[in-house]
Amino acid sequence: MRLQIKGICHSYDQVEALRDIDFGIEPGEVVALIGPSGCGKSTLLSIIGGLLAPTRGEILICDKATPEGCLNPLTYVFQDFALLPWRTVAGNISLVLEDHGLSKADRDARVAEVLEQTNLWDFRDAYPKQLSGGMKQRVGIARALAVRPAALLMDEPLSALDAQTRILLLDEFAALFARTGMTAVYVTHNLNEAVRLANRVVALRRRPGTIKEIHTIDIPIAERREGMPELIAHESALWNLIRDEAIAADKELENVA
Amino acid sequence: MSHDISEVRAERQSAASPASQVRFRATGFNPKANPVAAWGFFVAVIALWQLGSSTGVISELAMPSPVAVAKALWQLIVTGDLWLHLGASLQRLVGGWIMGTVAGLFVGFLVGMFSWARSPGVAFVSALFPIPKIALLPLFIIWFGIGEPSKFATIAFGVFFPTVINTFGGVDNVQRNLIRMGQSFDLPMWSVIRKIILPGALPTILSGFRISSSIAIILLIAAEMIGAQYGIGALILAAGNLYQTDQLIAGVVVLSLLGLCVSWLLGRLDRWLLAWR
Amino acid sequence: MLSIRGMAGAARLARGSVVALAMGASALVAFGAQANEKVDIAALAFVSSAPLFIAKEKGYLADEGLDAEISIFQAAQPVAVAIASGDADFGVTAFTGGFFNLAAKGALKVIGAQLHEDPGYDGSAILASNAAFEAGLTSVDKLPGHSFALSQVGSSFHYMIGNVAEKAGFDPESVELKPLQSVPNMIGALKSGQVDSMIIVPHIAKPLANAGAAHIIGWVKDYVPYQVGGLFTSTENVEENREMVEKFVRAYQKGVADYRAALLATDADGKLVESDTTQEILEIVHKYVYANDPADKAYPKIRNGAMFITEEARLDVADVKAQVKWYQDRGYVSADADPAKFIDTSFIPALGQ
Repeated sequence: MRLQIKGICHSYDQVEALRDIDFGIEPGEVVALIGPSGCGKSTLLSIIGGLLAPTRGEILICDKATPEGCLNPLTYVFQDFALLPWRTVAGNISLVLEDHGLSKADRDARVAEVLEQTNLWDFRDAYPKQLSGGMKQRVGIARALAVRPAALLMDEPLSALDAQTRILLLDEFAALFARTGMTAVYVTHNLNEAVRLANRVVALRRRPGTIKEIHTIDIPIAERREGMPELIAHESALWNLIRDEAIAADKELENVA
Repeated sequence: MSHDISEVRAERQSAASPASQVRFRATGFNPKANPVAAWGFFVAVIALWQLGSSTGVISELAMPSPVAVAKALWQLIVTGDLWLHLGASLQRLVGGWIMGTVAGLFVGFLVGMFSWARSPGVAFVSALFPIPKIALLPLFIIWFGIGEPSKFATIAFGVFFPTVINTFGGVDNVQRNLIRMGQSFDLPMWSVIRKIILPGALPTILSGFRISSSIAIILLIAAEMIGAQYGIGALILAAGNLYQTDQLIAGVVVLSLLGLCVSWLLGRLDRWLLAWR
Repeated sequence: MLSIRGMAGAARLARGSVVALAMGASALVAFGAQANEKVDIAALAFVSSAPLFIAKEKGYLADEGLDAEISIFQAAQPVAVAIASGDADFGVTAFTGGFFNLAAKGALKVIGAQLHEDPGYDGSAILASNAAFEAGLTSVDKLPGHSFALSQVGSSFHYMIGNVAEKAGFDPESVELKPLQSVPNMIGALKSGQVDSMIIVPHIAKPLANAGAAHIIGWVKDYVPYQVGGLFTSTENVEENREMVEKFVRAYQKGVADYRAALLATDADGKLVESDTTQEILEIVHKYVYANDPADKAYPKIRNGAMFITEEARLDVADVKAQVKWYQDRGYVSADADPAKFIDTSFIPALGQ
């Protein structure tokens, strides 16, 4: 699926959050959105996913090709997992399959398939409160994969996790992207995540959020390793891009407080 | 250097007064449940009460003795009157409660979910909730007569308002991100309501059931003031009018036990429906 | 209700002794009026309390050296409670199951009579709603199967329908009782046809029937005897202040005599007529009863409500005992209640003795 973001502007009341955002997302590409807090990267993701109506501009799906059995082309992975506490792991996944006319057997097969993919099979009957944060986010991923999306929209999926779990899941995400060639938009404030996972990184300025630069990382995701000198170089280049913005953001928050 | 430091430490230690333990300071502020104490307290109060009655400190006019109350209760049981009264009351309680709850849930969901219903609904409920329903009894009699409908209406009316408030409070408390999640997966509205909002609001709704069931029991007396030949409320009223204080307290005991039963049932319902918590 | 009796404590002190008299403001007033004994009377704003009002207004109580203060209560039951708790000294109300239960606890003594149903005078009427009347409830013997409004289970209304049923020869259980808590509720339910029947005092029954809002199908006086209510005081007064009780009884009896002469006077055919004292007594009673109505409206109501009272306020002890038994048989009065213990005929002889 190819997505075209065209002239997106958005304002909350008096505050202008995004101005004239234009870029495309190619099929099989992972695009990371980075920027200091308050730059509107999550807002932009919501607009891309159709959960927020932009003040101006539009999101175009240019290439309608979707994977076989796709129920929901643009699918979210949430920072806070957004799991229903009253449903088991399997129940949470089956939730998103229930309203699409699939037979019970089809649904169960899909649930089993994604549970296997995410190593959650043994946890299928557990309730979310029984799971660690990492496990919860694996359920979030499994749920998103169950609908066979054309693109994943990931909103800081590792931010709510502890540092060790983050490393583990980061490797799993990289493996997933490498294996499936999934199109994804990945919002993060963590530059390491961006350089490990993204083909291109869109760096945003803050308030109003505009594109400062689109940074390309031309190493195949499958070949990237933690601590690779090339990746470190990309990371510091990105840091140089947004450093001043981050300092300004930091000061402003202090002033606000 | 390290040698020096350890020497200094040793010196300091010996120079100080004899070693004392760090005092545990986090005492109190941690009440624990003790079912034995709960029952013990009941037993002690009843024993003291009986003692006061037997010795004449508490006059029979002021308060009947526990033995007299037990006798009155026993009398109600052996004559079968208790079941007659209880049956009539349970019918009204259950009927009135269900009517009020169904209506309350419906309105509560509307107020919780739709902008057009919110402001008028909240204003309406806030204005009518505090009215003592007993004050409206004459109106209910005009509208519904002196038969069973006015009794159902009294209880249903009392149950309706707290149910509305709890329901829309519960709907408000459903995490927005769960609803957004449902929408992001293209769940139809009815599915969002049934699979996300309803179970999400359920804990609040169930705790509201505790309040509304208590209110229903409280209103039973008011409901049975008019035209009720049988019923626990009618029994208590009649006993009061007849100064049969032993029967009056016996009726109150029955109401209290009824309340405990309802509370126990709701506890089971909680555990069954909210096992995921 | 009881809070209006705030002065009762002071009054009791004043009655106690000369030393106590010097202690409070009310005592000083009492001292100024030749050390009159203070008595507190609990009454209802009904014609049934009229002998009390007459005794007070015509000075019969003062003549006996009693400084009487009348407190008007809103309901009958609290009057009995006030006497039992010592907040008032004397009261008159109708007999109910509740009254007998209270009396059985030993705090009350019935010493005389209030209203009595008499075949020669209109008393409480048995009413049928218009709808029920048109559907055939035209006489008392047709009551079975119909609903009957009463204030409460164990009230005098309950006894009356039971008594009527027994004497008319039908099963009281065949009448469906509808306790409605208050007389206004009863009237409302009867007028709107929500109940088929009720029994009510004449000054309510007659206007209802005259206005076409209900039909009178019978009179309680046809099912006598029925001692409606009594005069009572506290056991403490009887035991420790006999002289004061005797004084009060004498004044009350004078009030009863005036009441009978003014309001119960009949011609040779037994028809009610005005006597020379009628206007005077009506004027006195009007100060307390229907006081908000102008005289031309109040007087007919008072006359309608003026039921029979026995000569010298003699109590129909045999009937009171029968009433207690009736309530006991139905479990409304405790089995250990003994009328002999709470009726004291040493002040006024019983009716027929």
